[in-house]
Amino acid sequence: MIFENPIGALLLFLRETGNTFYMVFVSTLIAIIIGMPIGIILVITEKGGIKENLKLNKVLGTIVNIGRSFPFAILIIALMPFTRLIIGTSIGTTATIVPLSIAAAPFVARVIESSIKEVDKGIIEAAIAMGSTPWEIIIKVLIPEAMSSIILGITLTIINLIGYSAMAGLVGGGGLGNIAIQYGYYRYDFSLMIVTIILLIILVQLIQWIGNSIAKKMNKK
Amino acid sequence: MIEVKGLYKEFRDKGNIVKALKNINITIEKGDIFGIIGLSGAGKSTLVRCINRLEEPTKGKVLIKGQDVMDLNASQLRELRKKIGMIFQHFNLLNSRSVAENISYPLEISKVPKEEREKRIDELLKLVELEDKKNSYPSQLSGGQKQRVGIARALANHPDVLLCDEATSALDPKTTQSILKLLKKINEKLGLTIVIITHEMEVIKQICNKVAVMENGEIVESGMVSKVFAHPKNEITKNFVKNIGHDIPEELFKELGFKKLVRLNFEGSGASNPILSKMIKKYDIDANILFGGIDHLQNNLVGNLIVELKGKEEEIEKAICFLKENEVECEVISL
Ligand SMILES: Nc1ncnc2c1ncn2[C@@H]1O[C@H](COP(=O)(O)OP(=O)(O)O)[C@@H](O)[C@H]1O
Ligand SMILES: [Mg+2]
Repeated sequence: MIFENPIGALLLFLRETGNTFYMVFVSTLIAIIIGMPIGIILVITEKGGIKENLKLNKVLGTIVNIGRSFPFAILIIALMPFTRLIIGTSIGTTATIVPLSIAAAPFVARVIESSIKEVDKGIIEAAIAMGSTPWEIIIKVLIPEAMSSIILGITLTIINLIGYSAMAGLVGGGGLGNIAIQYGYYRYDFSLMIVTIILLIILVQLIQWIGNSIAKKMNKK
Repeated sequence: MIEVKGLYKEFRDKGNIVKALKNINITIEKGDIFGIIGLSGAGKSTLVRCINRLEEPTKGKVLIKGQDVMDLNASQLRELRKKIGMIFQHFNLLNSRSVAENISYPLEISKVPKEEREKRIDELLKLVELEDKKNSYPSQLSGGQKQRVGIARALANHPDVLLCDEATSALDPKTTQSILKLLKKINEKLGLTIVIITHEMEVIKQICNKVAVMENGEIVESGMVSKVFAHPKNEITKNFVKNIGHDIPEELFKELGFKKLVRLNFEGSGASNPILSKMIKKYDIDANILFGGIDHLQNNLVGNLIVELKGKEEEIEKAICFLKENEVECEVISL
């Protein structure tokens, strides 16, 4: 197709790269909105945390683990009724955002949790000794101090989601994965598949590079 | 200012009970620089952490300006903590914030308006002599500079007390000196009460007026620094006094084959009186000063000498009696 209709191919790639971006970034955003509070709660409720609550910690931890143990392909299918309920359809680019977000949220929760756990206990203690409320500690100490590490974790989430979104393309989602299945698999047009792969590689490299740069800039250690 | 009464603290650690504090009683007056000295694990940190309730005491009272901190609810406790500055061995600065932003933190949580914050930050930077590092990040500072930021941050909300937990233990001797000088300056200039925890005798000697010696969760000796260290009663206190430096290694004693060695401790007028020369004139003995010196502990002279006494046994006995009559503490060092 690249050779018979280069403009059409270019438009196709532009459109589907745009779709991939759209799916990945919207679902990353949703995953952060869901996962971030969970990650924070996991840290502050653990033993010795600033709002110790072992029961809540255990319950949330279990939910996160269950979420993480679902293979993504199964999650897409299992969530189809739910996706149809809120989006109106279970196929297409927008519909894919639902399983992508749900798959990424527990991952983000763990990323945030482990980033915040790295914050020096002494710094938290100093904040307590200065009379901070738990909320002030979260907003002014834990998140800013963990920011560099959180950015790296979110970069990893985005990269994982690019992979997942390609997988979603196989079952009716849009994006670059969809080109691979539509043209590479059904029509044996391997040139398109190779371009898709190259595009995905570039995309991943680019995002890793941006993530690393931001994290480096944030890291004042 | 601060009264600790009958304070106990137990830690439950996997079924074991660690008694970190046992019946602690101390009174710290306004304007004191109160030192707490003890070996590692003695319970010093636990004790100061009970003062601002970073640690919950198991039993006992901690009164600050007459208010029992155990009676405060969470928000009252936070208000109290804003008036108790604290500095730490490892500084505990926010790495993501610049020097100015670190000092700003306690002001922000006290809801001080921005312009006032800026003004206060500049005042504090001047006080700790770090004006040129205002926009640096902690990672760009030396240990001493970090501790200065820690001190500025601790003073931001005009506290009544400053708690220092091993504040100089991570610093080299020269930097330690400069930080101690700064603390002294703050104590004099602002009338701030300071509680200093340390395992280093030097720190106590430099700036404290009162001291409590801790061992195994108990205070074994306390009082004015010059009194406690001129006449150390406890083994542990004696060890700390030795650490000031007027001591010879035991091996050396043996090697040189001295017969009768006596350690003399005296203070105040005793240190300036020529007691030793009087003793030599009065009794038929010789005194050979091997080691020692006279220290200034809070405007008080404290002497610590190791002397070899030569002569007849009974003359030496009499000479030692004479010294004791003149308020010199004598300890015969047996070899
Ligand atoms: N959170 C804790 N849990 C269990 N034991 C503790 C805890 N904190 C301190 N301890 C124990 O209490 C004792 C006193 O500790 P600490 O106050 O830190 O001593 P210091 O500051 O004099 O070195 C030590 O035996 C220590 O192991
Ligand atoms: Mg300690």
